[in-house]
Amino acid sequence: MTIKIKLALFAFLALLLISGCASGEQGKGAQEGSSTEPAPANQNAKKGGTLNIGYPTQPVTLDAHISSNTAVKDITREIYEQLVTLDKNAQVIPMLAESYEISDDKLSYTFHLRRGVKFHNGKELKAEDVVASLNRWIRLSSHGKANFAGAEAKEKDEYTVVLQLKTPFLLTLQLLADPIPAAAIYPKEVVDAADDKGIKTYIGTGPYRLEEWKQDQYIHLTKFNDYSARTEPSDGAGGKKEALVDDLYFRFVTDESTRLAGIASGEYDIALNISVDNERQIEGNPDLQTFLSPGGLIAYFYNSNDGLFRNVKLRQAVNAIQNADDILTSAFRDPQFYVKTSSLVLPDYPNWYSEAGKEFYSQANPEKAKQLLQEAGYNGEEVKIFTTRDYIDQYNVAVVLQQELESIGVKVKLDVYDWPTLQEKLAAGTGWDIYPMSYAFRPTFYQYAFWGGGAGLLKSPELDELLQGIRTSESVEAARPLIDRLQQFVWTEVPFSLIGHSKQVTALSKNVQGFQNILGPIFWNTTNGK
Amino acid sequence: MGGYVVRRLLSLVPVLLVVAIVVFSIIHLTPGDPAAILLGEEANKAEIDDMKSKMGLDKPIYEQFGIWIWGVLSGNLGQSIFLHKPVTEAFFERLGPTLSLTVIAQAIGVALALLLGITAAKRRGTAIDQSVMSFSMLGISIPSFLLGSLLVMLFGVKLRCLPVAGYQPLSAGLWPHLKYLILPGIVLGVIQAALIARMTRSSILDVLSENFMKTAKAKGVKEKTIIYTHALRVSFIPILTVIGESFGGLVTGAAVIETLFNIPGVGQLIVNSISRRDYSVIQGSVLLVTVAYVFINLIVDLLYGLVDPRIRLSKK
Repeated sequence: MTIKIKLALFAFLALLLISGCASGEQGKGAQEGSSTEPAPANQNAKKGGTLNIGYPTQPVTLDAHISSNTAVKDITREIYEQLVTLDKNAQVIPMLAESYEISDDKLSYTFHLRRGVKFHNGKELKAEDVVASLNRWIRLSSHGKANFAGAEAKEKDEYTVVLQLKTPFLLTLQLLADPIPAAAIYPKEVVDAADDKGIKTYIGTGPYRLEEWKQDQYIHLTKFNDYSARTEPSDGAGGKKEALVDDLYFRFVTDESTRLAGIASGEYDIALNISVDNERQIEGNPDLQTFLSPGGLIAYFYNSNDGLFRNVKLRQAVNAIQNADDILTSAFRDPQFYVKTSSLVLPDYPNWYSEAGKEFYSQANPEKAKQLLQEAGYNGEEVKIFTTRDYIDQYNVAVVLQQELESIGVKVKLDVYDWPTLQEKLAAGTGWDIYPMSYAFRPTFYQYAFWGGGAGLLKSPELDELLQGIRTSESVEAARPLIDRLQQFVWTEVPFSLIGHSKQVTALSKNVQGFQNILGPIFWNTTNGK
Repeated sequence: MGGYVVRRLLSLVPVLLVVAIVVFSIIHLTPGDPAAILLGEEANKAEIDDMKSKMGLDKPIYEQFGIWIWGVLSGNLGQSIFLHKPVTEAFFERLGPTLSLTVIAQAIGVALALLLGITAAKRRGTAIDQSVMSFSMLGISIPSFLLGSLLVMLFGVKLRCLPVAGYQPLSAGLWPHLKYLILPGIVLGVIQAALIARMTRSSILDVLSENFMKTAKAKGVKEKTIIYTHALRVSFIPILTVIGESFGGLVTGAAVIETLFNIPGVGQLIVNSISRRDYSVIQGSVLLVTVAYVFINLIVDLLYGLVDPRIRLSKK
């Protein structure tokens, strides 16, 4: 009897392994076959097929208006489109609009819509859809609430929409083109049926439409066959967009090691949010390639409204000990994964890049720091740094900062929380002194969300005046002196200490071509040669 | 026996009430809330407060508890904020993958454990016994995510026999269903096996030293018959207890393994809901899991009577 049981058991296990490995061998063979082919030339990339994307989190909603969640942005921008969008240099170009005009008083923006653009439900895009969507975005989105109070979109005729502002706003088009939170255009019926917690159906004009959302497993998008593409060549997030693969699967894989194993085994073609430490595994694998794109600004923010750090001398002291090289290498390992600059905006965006105040960046000057501590009257009080391990770069920054501060005799306590807890503790505005935080990359610094509500951010009439001045400038050229002054203000009043800008690491299979990252990954115009 | 079952089921009520209160308070006292999660990383406090009041989360906590518990009593566990469906529906959707995984893990675990435990007991004190016991010690102490990652590296990435993660329902076919569950099943199975094997070995050894065993041996009964028909049956009660407990643990969600292997089961639902602060799902799932756990224990207790006629519950 035992022998029978044993035999049956072994036979069962053996069967499982053999059948499994046999199919695995076939898969492997096929893959080797394709890699021996000449690298597919761009002009002749294979169409069709499927892209499997190992994506770290499930979006909290597919309503692009209400959320600034990254997953919401990355997935919804495949489904919906905006009136305008960004080219590869983050300049505004038309998308659903054929063209637009701005009145001389900068108060009304007239958009002429493209004709014959179809929604996924077959309906043609008309002005009423744009009016309904824009007005909802103004009412509910963080951009809308902060910058478009009193503004209203109106229908001029079937294919013309006028956005009427109360006050001139330099970044009107920039924000309408921003993918997060996107001024996505939904059909009017969807807007009418929606409540403030979200839309009920997910219909856009984009190259992909929603096929299925399997909660906590995947979102499946399929090619929208009636997609009306622009005729200009593809440029950044604009120009001609084409769904070159038939199916997109965003597979939600929270565990990074699983995403890595999945791309190494060929189950995923793209894996997002790879940490710089694990990038070595991508680099060392001949079937894979690393794709780098701007990640975000990283800084530590002081509680300038409560506690010790209301004292500017103390903020300056902590800023003086900062050694950006130490922090950046500890958080991001290698210079290819970060940009060391004192500017809030990367040098690639010259309109907003500014070197003002750079002498106060990365001073690494313990004597000066100690001197400032003394002037501030620091007397051994405990400095509380709050951070989270959910974003490992923030945590690494916190640890280096702790060491730096201890080296000049500051007593430090590091408190680590999960992300939602950290958010709530910081929002309470008291009980903490410093927190490192990263903000997703923006091509203009005006768009960083912390100006509007960063926890503990310095309240200063000068800062408000500068921001207001930039807001109402006629043009970016006219705003230039203010941009420099604001950058200078950041380094002298130190509402936060900028450390630098990180890069985002995406792992791609060698078969993937045409992938881009314009404020986040985009998957149209991307092919999979597998 | 009927009375016993009824009494056990009635004892569920206070248990569930305590669980409900504890879970509700822990979740609502934990910082972070669904409004902030929904609005995204860059939302400010005013926007979050606004959304909170739209979600009804600005009401006093006792009022929210009252609303929820009233719903529970009338059989409504509430609506998920993020999944856009009733909690019960979300939970039972996830029960399938968890049950499949449990059955596979438990089958692997029990088969392996009995094999090892009995072998070790038979060869007591020999090198085989030693190595079986070292294996089971290793099985108990190795963290499941480590074993899981190692197996994924070997079978998923190097040999490419098995998928590294994911899930296919049984409706997609038996093999597609099974192949996603083999690795996680092995990980959980090995860990269960380690525990059960130790219990099997020691309880068989206990029984073997009993007088009726010597009698059997003296009568000339074959060793195999002694072990499998007599010893195993008598020593099965403690083994059954361990099996029951581990089964309960598996059904109620192997959170780490489900997350690592991306299996949309109950454990993953609870973990994801906690990070989303999806209050009603966490509360509802924990209640349902508690019910499941109590039921499994009840079934195990009833099975005792089947295995060992001496403790038939109906006689009391």
